[in-house]
Amino acid sequence: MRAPMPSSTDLASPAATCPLPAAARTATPAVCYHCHQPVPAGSRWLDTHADGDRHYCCAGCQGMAALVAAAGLDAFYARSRTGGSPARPATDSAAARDAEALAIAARTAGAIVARADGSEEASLLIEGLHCGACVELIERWLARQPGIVDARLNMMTARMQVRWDPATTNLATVLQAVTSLGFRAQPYDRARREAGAQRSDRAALTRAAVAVLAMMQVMMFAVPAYISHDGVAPEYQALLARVSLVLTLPVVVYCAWPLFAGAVRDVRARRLGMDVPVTLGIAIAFAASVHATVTGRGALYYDSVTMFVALLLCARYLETRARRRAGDAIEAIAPALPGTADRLRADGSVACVAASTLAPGEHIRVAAGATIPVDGVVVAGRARVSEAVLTGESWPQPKGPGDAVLAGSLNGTSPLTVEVRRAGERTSLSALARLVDRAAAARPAAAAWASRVAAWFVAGQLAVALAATLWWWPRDAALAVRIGIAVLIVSCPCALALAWPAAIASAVGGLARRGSLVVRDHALDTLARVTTVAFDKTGTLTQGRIALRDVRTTRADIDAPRARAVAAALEAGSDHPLAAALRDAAPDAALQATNLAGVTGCGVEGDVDGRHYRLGKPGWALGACARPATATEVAALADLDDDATIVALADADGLCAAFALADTLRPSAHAMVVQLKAAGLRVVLLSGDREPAVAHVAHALGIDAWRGDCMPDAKCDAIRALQRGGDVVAMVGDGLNDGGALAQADAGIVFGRAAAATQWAADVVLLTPDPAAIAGLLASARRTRRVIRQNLGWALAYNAVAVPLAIAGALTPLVAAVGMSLSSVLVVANALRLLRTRATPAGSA
Amino acid sequence: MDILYLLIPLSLVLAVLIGAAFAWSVRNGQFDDLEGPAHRILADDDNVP
Repeated sequence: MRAPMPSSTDLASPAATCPLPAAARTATPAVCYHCHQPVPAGSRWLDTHADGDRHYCCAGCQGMAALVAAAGLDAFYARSRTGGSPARPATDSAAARDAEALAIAARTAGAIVARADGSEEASLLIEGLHCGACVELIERWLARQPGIVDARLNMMTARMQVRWDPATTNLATVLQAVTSLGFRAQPYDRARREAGAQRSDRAALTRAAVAVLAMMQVMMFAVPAYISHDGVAPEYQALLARVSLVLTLPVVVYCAWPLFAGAVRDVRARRLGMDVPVTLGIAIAFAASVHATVTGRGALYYDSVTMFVALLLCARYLETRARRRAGDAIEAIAPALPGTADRLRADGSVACVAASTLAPGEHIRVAAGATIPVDGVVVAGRARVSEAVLTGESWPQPKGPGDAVLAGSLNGTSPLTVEVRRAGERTSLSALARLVDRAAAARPAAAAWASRVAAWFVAGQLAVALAATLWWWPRDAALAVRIGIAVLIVSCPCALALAWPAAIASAVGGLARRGSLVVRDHALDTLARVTTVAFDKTGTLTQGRIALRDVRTTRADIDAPRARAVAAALEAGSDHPLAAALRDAAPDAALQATNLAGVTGCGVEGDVDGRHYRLGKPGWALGACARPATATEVAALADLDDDATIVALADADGLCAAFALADTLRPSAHAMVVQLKAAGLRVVLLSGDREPAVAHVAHALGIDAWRGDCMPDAKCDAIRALQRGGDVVAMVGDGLNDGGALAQADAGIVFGRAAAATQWAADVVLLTPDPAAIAGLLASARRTRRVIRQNLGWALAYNAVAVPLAIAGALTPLVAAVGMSLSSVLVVANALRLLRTRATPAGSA
Repeated sequence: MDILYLLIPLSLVLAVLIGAAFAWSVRNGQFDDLEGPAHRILADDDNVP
């Protein structure tokens, strides 16, 4: 069952078309060769070719023409001028020309990416998707086309990654293959996607509204027949029937159009979707009603038809909006990188080039307020750069020569010169975006299963409807038709076909808005089953940054604030992490230090208010005083936490103060652990840090099970041991050395600033540094599972009751239509609850 | 009851008018963003002292 497709060769070879006679072109230089606009008098943009001169209206058109020629697609011009080449069959000319024009535009805009294995890849936007089944249909259809290596369609963003072998096929053929199914395909472009989404949103809303309006009117005209005892007088009944027909006609022809189109698509692809029985039911009921109206005998089902279409369209509209909102939330996180960059030439001049063509080692200029297009290293300039997109850290970081900057971060303050390290598809941001795409494109196995089951469900439903009609036919033909219609429209596969994908899309979208990217398809399902959460300490529960934890003073003449102020003054010029921590501990100290001198490996010394101080390692600092350390001083130093780094401040009279510096806990870590425990989860701490430091954190957070000194292998083993005990383990990690543990765990959760290699091992990437997101994530996964189960339970109970009643003839088509549509609305609305962003305690799940 | 011959067609005309008005408002973008305007009303105008 293949639609007639043009062979790929007549699209691929420009040589197949006949070029215009050269004379025709040279004789009329009045229009631009590229854009057909009039060329201004005395234009100097001119190419000389073998077949004559080509005039252009501007430099841009000349450049475009050169690109098209370089791509070997020169025949585009011959064709666009003659309105279809004589070498091509007339039947496909319009569609093929559109497809080819789009393909050329895509190639010149750099939207086609050549891959290392010789294949080519492009991102396409598909319009007209309306359920998970469409996705499967397009993917299967493309898989059958020659030369297509791989096609993955993301239902949430309506984007398709398609890879093909350029020797066998080309983009124009791919576009046409999709178009032949009744969908529209275009090279992906965000603005166009939004415009397309808006158009289809508006159409869907208008269709639903017209159907609801007609439903209300038709219902008014149907009520007299239901409530009158001795029937409506025939002349009025004829009037009501005719007016109802007039009102129902637009509902069937206009509002239900997407349903019919869906059914036709399904039938052409030899598969059964839920549109097939729905459409059959509508068509039969409408035809029977028209027959009854014309002959004046038989039952009218106008009310059933309009109500069915109206409520079904409302449910679909809600589902589409939910998917779109979920997709938007994901897109908002990975914004488009700038397409162009200002490349610095050797002579210092600037050229605007496509960012993806930049090679490592080249220098680019990034203006203040611009998004950095590449991963690279700052060569010149100093600026504050916001990396919120990648790390969730919204505070701009100062960057100077030698600092690494990432694509997607925003240059806030002043121009930078950046040396390119990675550009285009190889940047960290692109890697993250691909992760998200991979997850979204690999539709959850559960949802794929659901759509297969739905197909069987529909097949069974058609068989039952047919059997019931045949069974009743000899007894009462009118009743048999009524029962057939009722069975067709009463049973509801919506919980499978509509609500399951909607639930997962809503949950993923809701999480994305809160900064949790679900990057693997099964993650939500696994997270809902998690019983134990294992944490890596550094950077997950703690800030991953040294801060002052404790100060001990030993003398009356210097108190703790004074000691902090002196220390801050001494460290004013140092960029050591310990120095930064001491400076942060006394932010408003106004002391000035003089004669500062750093002693490598020991500390710093200098004068503050006329006294000479040493600040650094205790042994060295105490050397400022001639006598040996007293017992009090030794005790003060020993009294501090043994997992912290000790820094001593001393002057000629001995020790002034001892500072304990250590990694601090994140503010929300404790609340998160409490929430997880309240939800009945076990919390385990596995860290590579020293045992005392790990014990300290575990005590502070109320975690009973911890292990310190864990090598990466030991972490894996610990998780394996938990899994053998029957636990489903989620690992929350950060560093590269957690990669193995993340892979061993049933679900891996990492923070956005983790290395790309670690992210690949993860199931969920958290863009916020706040550990509270973990509790929210687990709660959301459980809620999703609960909603899916509720929907399936409802569908099972509803169908088990409704279908036998319909077969027995106890349901009129009207009641069947109400039941089925309300069931759809119910399951979809239930799924949409997941999209709501609300802070729920983990315990609610 | 002959009035029905006037009233029912009249209701049809009304339904068409309502449908047309709704379609017009959809095309005008009245339903594109159902949340934004609710928030916008809360946003202070910085130009007003």
